[in-house]
Parts: sequence; C-alpha cells; structure tokens
Amino acid sequence: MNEKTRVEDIDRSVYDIRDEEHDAYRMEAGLTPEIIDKLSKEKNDPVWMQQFRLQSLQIYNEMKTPDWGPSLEGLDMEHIATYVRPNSKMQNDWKNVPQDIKDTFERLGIPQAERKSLAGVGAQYDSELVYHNVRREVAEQGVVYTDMESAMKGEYADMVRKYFMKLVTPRDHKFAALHGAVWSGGSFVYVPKGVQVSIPLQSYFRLNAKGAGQFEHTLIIVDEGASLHFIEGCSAPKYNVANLHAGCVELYVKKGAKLRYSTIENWSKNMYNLNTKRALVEEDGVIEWVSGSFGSHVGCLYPMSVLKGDRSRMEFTGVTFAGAGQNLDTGAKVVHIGKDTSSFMNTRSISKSGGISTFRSSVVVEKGAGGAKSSVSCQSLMLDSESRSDTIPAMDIRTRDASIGHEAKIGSISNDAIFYLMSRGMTEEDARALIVSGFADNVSKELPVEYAVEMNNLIRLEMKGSIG
Amino acid sequence: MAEKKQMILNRLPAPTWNWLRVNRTVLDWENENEIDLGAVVRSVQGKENEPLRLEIRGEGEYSRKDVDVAAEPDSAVTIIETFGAEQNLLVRTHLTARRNATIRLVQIQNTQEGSRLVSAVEGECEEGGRIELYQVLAGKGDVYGDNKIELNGDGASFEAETGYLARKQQKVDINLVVNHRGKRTECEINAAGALMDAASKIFRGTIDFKRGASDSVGNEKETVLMLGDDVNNRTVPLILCAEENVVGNHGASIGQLDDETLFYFESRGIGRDVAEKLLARASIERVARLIGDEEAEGAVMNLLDEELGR
Amino acid sequence: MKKELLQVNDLHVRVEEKEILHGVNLSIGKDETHVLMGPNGTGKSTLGYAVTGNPAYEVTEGSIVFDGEDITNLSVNERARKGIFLSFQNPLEVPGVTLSAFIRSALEQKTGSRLRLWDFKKKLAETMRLLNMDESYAERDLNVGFSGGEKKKAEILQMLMLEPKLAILDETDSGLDVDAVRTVSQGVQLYRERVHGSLLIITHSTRILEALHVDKTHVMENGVIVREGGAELVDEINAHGFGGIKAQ
Repeated sequence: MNEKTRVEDIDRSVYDIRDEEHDAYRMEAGLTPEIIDKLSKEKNDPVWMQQFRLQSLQIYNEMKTPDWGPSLEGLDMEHIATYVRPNSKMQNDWKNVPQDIKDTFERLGIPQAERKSLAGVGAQYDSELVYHNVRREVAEQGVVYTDMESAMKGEYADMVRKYFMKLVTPRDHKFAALHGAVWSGGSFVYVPKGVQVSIPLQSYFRLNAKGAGQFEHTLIIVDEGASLHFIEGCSAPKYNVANLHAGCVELYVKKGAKLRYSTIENWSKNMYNLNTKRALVEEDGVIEWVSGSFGSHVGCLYPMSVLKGDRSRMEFTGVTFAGAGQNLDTGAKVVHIGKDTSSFMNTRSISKSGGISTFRSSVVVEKGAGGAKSSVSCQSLMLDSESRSDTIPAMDIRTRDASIGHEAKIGSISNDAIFYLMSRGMTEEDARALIVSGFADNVSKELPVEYAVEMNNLIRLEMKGSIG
Repeated sequence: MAEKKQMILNRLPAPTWNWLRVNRTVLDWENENEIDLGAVVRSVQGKENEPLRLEIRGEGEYSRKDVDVAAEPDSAVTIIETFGAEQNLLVRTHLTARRNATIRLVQIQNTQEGSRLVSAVEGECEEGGRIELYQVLAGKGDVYGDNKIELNGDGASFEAETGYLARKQQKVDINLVVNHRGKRTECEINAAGALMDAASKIFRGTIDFKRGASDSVGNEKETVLMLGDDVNNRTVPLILCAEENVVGNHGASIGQLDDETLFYFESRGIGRDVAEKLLARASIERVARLIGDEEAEGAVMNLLDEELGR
Repeated sequence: MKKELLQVNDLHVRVEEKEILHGVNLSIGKDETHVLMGPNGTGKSTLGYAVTGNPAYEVTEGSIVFDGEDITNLSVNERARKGIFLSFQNPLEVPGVTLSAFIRSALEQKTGSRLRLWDFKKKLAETMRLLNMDESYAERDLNVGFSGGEKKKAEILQMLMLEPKLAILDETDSGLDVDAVRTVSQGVQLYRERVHGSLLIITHSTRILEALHVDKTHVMENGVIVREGGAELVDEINAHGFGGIKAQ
C-alpha cells in the first residue's frame, strides 16, 4: 500500500473537521446584481459600499481571466455561494462562544496560541468573524483591531472609506473585482503614531461549507513612526467541489513606520488561492513580507510593494513548496518611485512529486527613482524529475541612477550532502527532510517559534514518502 | 503593391504580466524582396574550413536573406555575417551542427540610423554538436534578434557572447531561448553592453531544461551599464526546469559605474567620463577578441572607433 | 628645511561614523623609502586611502600637502595625475577592460595626449618581462581570474608604467607570501632606479622589507604615529615585536 497517501491522510485529518452545517443561511449560487444587493442588505452596508459592490460586479463581468500563469479551469464561479453566516453573533469573550464552534477552534489550537502572548485573535468562520478579542494591553495603546464590517460603521468609518480598495482597486484584475463585489469579513487594524506594538497580532480563518468562497478583506494602517507585526495563518478542509480564496490585503505604512506581514498559507489541496496583497510605503517606511506557501491546488500570490516615499524599503522572504497536484505560482512585485529606495527579495522554492512551482517577479524602477537599489535572489530545489520549477523574473529600469542585482539558482539535493548525513547515522528520508528544512530556513528563522515549528512539521509531512 | 503585415517575434516561452511588455514584440512589416547573394546554402565538411564571410546590405525598403548552413559530422566552420542595413532587413540564419560538429556564427551589426534589422537564428545540435554565437551590436539602427537553439543530442553545447552599445533613440530587442533536450548538454550565455542617451533594450534569456536532459548545465550572465539620462532597460532571465539532475544559474547586474570600480579608475587618474567610455567599449571589445578572426576583430574595432571616438 | 614631497598634518579621518585616525603627522621627502608599521587594525591602510582621496574616508581635521600643494580637497583622479599612486592589497576585477587598455588609458590621462601604440606596447612588454610576468596577461581582463601573485604583479606593473612621484604600497597581507615579497622587492628596486620616486610601504610584517633600503620607519598604534626612526627600528620590531616599542 502506498505509505505516502496513508500518512498524509492521517495527518491532514486534524484540519479536516467538517461540522454539520450550522450555517443558517446560504446565498444562492451564481452572481447577479440581485444577489449582491441581498448580500449588501444582510450586512447592513452603508450606501457607498452597496454601490461599490455593484460597480465591482460590473467590472468583474467585463474583465477577462489572465492569459498567463496556471489554468483556472477548475473554478466554477456559478456554484460558489459567497455568504454564509453562522448561528452566533460576534463575541467579545471566549466564554460566550457556542461549544461546537469553540471545539473547532480548540482543535486548531487557538486558545493555546492565545495564551502564548499573542495580542488577540480574529477568527473567521465561514465568511464572518465569530470570535474576536483584543487584548487589553494593545487596546490601551490605542491600537484598533476589529473586524472590517464594524470598522466600516463605527468611529473609523471615514478612515475605512478613505482607504478601502484604493490600493488594490477592482480594476486591477478579475478577482480583485470579484472581491470588491462579494467581500466579507476580515480585519481592520490601525496603529496610532509612535506606537510600537510589541506582540504580533494574528488572525485565523477557515472555510467550512461546501463551495463557500472566502473573500476576506484585511486593511492595516500603521501610522507615522509606529511598528507592527501581523501574522496571517489559515487552513481549510478538503472538498470535492472547487473552492476559491480571493482575499485582499491592503497595507499602508506611513512615514518612518514599520510593518512586518507574515503568512503561512496552508490551504487544502483543492483550493484556488488567488489572494491579492499590496503595500504602500511612505518616506523612511519599511515593509517586510515573510511568506510560506504550502497548500492549495492552484495558488497565485505576488505581494506587491509600492515604494512611494524617499528611502522607503521592502524586504520579501518567501518559501514555496509545491507537491503532488499543486501548481503554485508565487513571487513578489515592487515599484520604486521615491528616491534612495531599496528592495530585497530572498525566495526559495521546492518542487516534488509532480508539483509545479513558479517564481514570478517584477522589479520596476521609475525614472525619478534615483538612488534605487534592488537585490533579488531566488533558489529552486527540484526533488525529482516529475516536477517542474520555473523562474520568471523581470526587471524594468528607467533611470541610470540605480543599482540592480539579480541571481537565481536551480538544482537538486547534492548526493554528497545526503551521503554525509547518512554517514552520521541518519536515514536517507530524514537526511532529505533535514536538507529541505534547512533550505527553507530563510523563512523559518523570521517566524515566531510556533509558526516555524508548524512550518517544519509541514515540510516533514510533505517529505514523507519522498523515496520510491 | 507591398502588403502590410505584422511580424510577431521574440516570444517569451513562459509569458508573464502583460503590462511589462516583454511577452512578445510586434513590428509593422511588409513583404520583403529576397536578396541575391549567390549560394549560401552550404553543407560543410572537414575541420579546416575558411570562414564564410557574408556582407548583407539590404535592398530596397524591405528585404530578406535566408542563410542555411549544415555542418557534417566532425566538421567545423565559422560564418561571419556583417549587416549593413539602410532600411528594413530580415535575415534568417539556420544552423545544423551534426554529430561532433562545431559552427561559429559571428554577427556584426553595422546598420544605419533609422534602419531596422531583424535577425532570426535557429540552431540545432546533434550529439556532441556545438554552436557558438557571437553578436556585436554596435551599429546605429534598431536591432531585433530572435534566437532559438535546440540542444537535441547528448553532449551538445551552446555558447552565446553578446556585446551591445545603444545610443540616441536606438532599440535593442533580443530573445534567446536554449532548449536542453539531450543529456549532458551545456550552455553559457554572456550578454554585456552599455546604454547611452535615450536608448532602450530588452534582453530575454531563457534556459529551458526539458525532462530527460539530465546532467545538463546552464549559465546566464547579463551586465548592463546605464550611461544615459533617458535609458530604459528590461531584463527577463528565465530558467524553466522539468529535470531534477541539472544545474542552472543566472545573474544580472544593472546600473552605472559602481563606487569601488570608479575609485580604482580614479586612483589611476582616469575620471568618470573616460572610465564609462572605456567600459562601454569593453563589452564589445571582449566579444571581438573572442571571435578569433583578425579581419572581423579589426572591423569591430573600426566600428567602435567610429562610434565612440578613441 | 628641504621641501617635503608629502606632508600629513594632524590628520583626523573618519570611516562610517567611526574616527580611525586621531591626528597623524608624517612627512616623506623626495626619493625616500618610508615604512609604516603597526599592529593589525590600527589604521595603516586608512592612511593610504586617505592620502589617495577615497571618498569613503572622510578627513575631519588636518591637511595633506603634496609637493607644496594642499591636496586635502582634491578628487581621487586629480591626485593621481599629480603623481600619487596606491597599490591595492586586494585589487578589483574589472571584466571587459584589459590590463593593457587600463594602463594605456591611465597614461594618456596623465600626459594629456595620445600614446603611440607601438611605443606603449614595447615598454609594457619590457616591463612585464622584468617582473617575470607572462606577456599574455596584457590582453587579459584586468585582474579577472588572476591569482593573488599575479594581481600583485599587475599592481606593481601599473606603478612602474605610471611612474608616480609617490607610490604607496599597501602590503598589509603580504607578509607570508614568498612570491609577493619577491615581486614587491623587485618592483621597488626597479622603481627607484627608473623613476627615483618616493615610497611609502605599509605593512605589519618585516619580511617584505628585508631586501630594501629603508630611509625612515613610522610606527602607528591606535590611529596615531607613536614612534619614528631609521632602518634600525625595523630590526628592533623584528626582534621585540610591537609590544616592545615604547611611544616617544
């Protein structure tokens, strides 16, 4: 019997909990203006948002799917219900959350993580936040961490309106337009001037109902001189019906501020992960992306940084692991606009068992972006000859006053290295797993310990059965 | 009556974001007159072959020349194509390197301002076959180079050395795709050049390791010296891989004279302007020396002196 | 008092926010060979870079006077044209530019006129022979793929071809390299015979000085000159190391 399949199934089952559908309400499949209207009313959207959604739907219908990248044929948009609301209303205290929902999150380890000095947890359950708790310390500093819907209607309504989908607009691509029409849930974070948030903020969300789409919107504003580390980690069960994740993350890093955005993406192997992330960085601001992509059937992820202010900086550290049946097209984009800006990309990718991993990047330096520095380094590891690893970088430089470096390497695990480890008593399987973990350390050393551990576990899981 | 059409060339094997405008190049073109240069279809044998020198000038507004060379097993030949176009010239060069044969193709672009040269090179190598491509792009007109090399046989190899100097509003638009199919195939791509004034350049280099090309090696290096205030450089170095046992590397370095190098030159009394000129010449001179043909090398040096002054 | 070729007055030099030289005084006369010694990390190379004018080395106080002219604010290549040469410890690789083209260009900048190719090539080949340097290096890309010893020869070759008034040799790593020692000795000898220029040899090992005639020795410690003397100081250091040197 194929040991690989058995082990994978056992381990994945922790994430494959499928509760009886609590889901009291489901949207009809298919996307018409009427459905968007209904959705908008259900959410008590302000008028501007209702109009925004309808406009976005129109743009969605006009736009074509991209003619490059992985095929999106398996997506059946008509059958994806976009709105599911669970029984419980928003809770501020863990005590009052319904038991079986609590169980689900308990099994995913949230309470423990909460105890381990995380500032707060925004947990999305089928398109809406169920549990939300902002730790007192962080709230006292004036940090606002709430769900998008509340933020849109409360005292930050004007701020939200000012920023919402201005960085990633519905015209950017078809799935951004879709997002604009049907978005639901997500986090709003505002860090006031000068506030250094010492504990990472994090959010979990998962998919439950068959065919439900995930369209959460994250909007983070780090005001002048402030700093924040935000962690996004997610997981979803397996289904037979194609599932789509078309979330959107907009990050505003103001003058002298710093934002680190860490993600471990571990969606189930039937998901289409088409997330759009973009950051706008002002003078002396810094954005750091730390990204581990492991799951999904098809993934298209290219966090983009706009270095608008002078001396703004971007650092991107990523690892992508594409296993059997996966086509992960990941990378990063950066645009240098201000003077003396700098960008660094360090990515590693691993392909195994027929998986396809593509590194895709763009570095654009505008004419006025004098003093720009950019350095991109990508390494790819092929673990067998069934898989694919493609590197598709591009640089467009429009000023002489720039210093741009790029290097890429591709290869396989060195037999000498395996021999050396085995000569010290390791099995071949362990040796390979160790080498691949080591290969991914550019990301694991940037993550908080519990995430690094989860990431190394994922790698070990993926590597099991890699021999024969 | 000349028929207008569009020529689509320089296609990137794996397209990327369309807004980067590097996926392909589309040129307005018309049907061409064929140039009569006598027999240039050759089947070469033996190792001691005189270099084949072709001066291709172009006739009329749109003209075309096809060059076909097959090198029989164990033979070696050098072909030197010098392009002197005044208007629109399309040259298609087809090379077949049979078992253990070597073909060295030297292309010297010495075209007039306002002209457009399209050079399409297709090469295939059988077992142990080798193709070397030397391109000196130092003329005044626009250059579009679409080059595709198939390393079909085991042990086949390819080397490309490109040097370019683009000035004023010149466009240099190159595509180089190397398909590794056989085992133990090797390729090395070196492209270096300088952009001055408002010149623009796209260099797409693709190393494609097909499944089965085990123990193959591909190295690509590009250096671009940006010397003009309105220059535009696009670099797209691709590595596509479906085979585990390969080694692929590529590096690109784009910018102006770096501080350390500038200091070294200045410590010898050589100021920035002179240093930049020296380095701009350097990328072309380097390729010229590698050609290994005195006549061709001399021609290139003269061309450089004309362009840059001594 | 005879006019000195190089006069360094109370020089304070800062690199990356840190002050390395805290008031260095040093003078070198015409046709003299000086040695600058001292323990590692003490600022010796910094002095060499500062005199050459490397912009990364900021002069915060003091002055540098060369051949009667204050050059403290002159650019690197202006100083080079006036006759200051620095042989680098670890010379840069410059792909695309041949050793020959580099030297020719430098010479043309210095004389301000075109060189006759034939004369230049003859002199270059002759000098390379004297240094036991393979002629083929002339057409090789500057320092690319050169071994340590060949890079050293290339630097000394440049010195002999450019004929500076003052040659600063940064030999801080060369102490144990037999070939380097030989090349430098030979080069210095030829330089003195041909050019009668002055030399400042920066080193922390005495090996390299064994075959040379030294006019004056300076010992640097913690960014200042702590002791000066004649050739006998070299022997003292040889015998007792730097610890034995007492500041005066």
